[in-house]
Amino acid sequence: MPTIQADRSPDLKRLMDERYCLDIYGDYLVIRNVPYVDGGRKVKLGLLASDLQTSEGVTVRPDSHVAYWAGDYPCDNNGIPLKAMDAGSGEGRKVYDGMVADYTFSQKPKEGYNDYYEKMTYYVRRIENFARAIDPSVSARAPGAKGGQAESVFRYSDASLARDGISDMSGRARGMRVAIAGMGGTGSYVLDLVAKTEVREIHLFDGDAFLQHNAFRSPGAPAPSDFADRPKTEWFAGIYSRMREGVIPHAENVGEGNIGVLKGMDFVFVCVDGGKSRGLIAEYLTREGIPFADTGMGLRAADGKITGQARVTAHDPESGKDVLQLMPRGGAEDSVYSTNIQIAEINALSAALAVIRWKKSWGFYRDTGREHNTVYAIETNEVINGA
Amino acid sequence: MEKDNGEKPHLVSIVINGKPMKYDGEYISYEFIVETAFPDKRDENDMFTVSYRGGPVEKPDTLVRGQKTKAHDGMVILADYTGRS
Repeated sequence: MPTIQADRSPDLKRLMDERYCLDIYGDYLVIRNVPYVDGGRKVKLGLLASDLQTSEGVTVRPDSHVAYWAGDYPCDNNGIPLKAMDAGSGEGRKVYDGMVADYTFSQKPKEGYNDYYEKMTYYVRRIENFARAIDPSVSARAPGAKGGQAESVFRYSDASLARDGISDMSGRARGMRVAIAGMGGTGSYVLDLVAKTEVREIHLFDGDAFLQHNAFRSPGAPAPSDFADRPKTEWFAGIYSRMREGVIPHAENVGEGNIGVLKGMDFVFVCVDGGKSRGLIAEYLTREGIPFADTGMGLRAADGKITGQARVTAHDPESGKDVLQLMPRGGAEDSVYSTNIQIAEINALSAALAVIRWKKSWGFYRDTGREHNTVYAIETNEVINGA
Repeated sequence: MEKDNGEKPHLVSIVINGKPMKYDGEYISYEFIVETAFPDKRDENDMFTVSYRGGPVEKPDTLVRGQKTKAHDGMVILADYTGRS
């Protein structure tokens, strides 16, 4: 029987509203029915628990990032144990009456957990994503959750999914929260593609207004009357919201003062112009263990024709590979090195490559190449995979 | 490089960003390519995207800072600052 009223703490209330199977036993917070993959690639349910610190019946900021697990050791969708969070066997450790831990976990993003919602969902997501890669119907959240995975995000359905037999694969994206930092040429094409997937939320970040010249480097065809003084994010959210929900505009650039807006994202498309913000964002996401794909192009004129290269660099936290050194992050003016030229089809190609890379990361496409860096050379029409 | 058997120095014809040049050396490095393509380079932290074809292996490949590859006659090298989005 709970000894504190969960309703009074916003983090516990949010866990309940989102229909996690939450219980409180004495000083412990428990989430039941967490889907996970065992060493034999079977999907099972486990139990995650944490110390719960309160003051006068309300939660305070967790001071420990340790969690307890009852179940077999959780693995990725290939049956490989998720060792990065292992804190050693908690075997036989009694957590509370009715729970004896098999394992303890210890992992946290750099700035720690602000509350118990962040702490518990951090572990749950890491564990259940691999179960959902095998069986997209499983979830730690009970059906009927607000904005829940049982309901479609689309306002009309894609009949081809069932007909072509790919609804299982596409369903793996359900529940995901992705962000697009930068809604310029490449970012807008990324949105055009990601909007058609079943992700729950797409957060758009860009501080600029949508102007006439932007129309020549983004999908669609605005009318002359469409150019009011309005933020790009609002313009694009308006278009794609006709088709689906969960397109959320933020009329601000991601920078030092607000970098925390990316916390809790499942994936980020870094589509910013220029090196300084790219470096800031990439370093933050690497510290937070959030996977991302960074895009960039460098075009120049040579003998009266356009040439150059486009690049997609992807960071996979599980691989532990440092890709920061592959990206331009300097503070110098970009126009020193290349022009400001951007061309729609090169933006679109970069976006498509980034989206394909993202879809490989959650198991939609088969990935045997496992490349972290891709370069498209315009004049030779080569797609070069490296690192 | 000094050769004591009367061999000619290893001189090859390469192209960097469309400019043909003669290159003297067994290996060509990312640093040399970037210095040549961007002589006004300012920031030591900037990373460039360097790709080449006609090098040691059939398929095209890339170089990052600190890397080098064997210089081959006829190799075509591209260097760009891929920072725009």
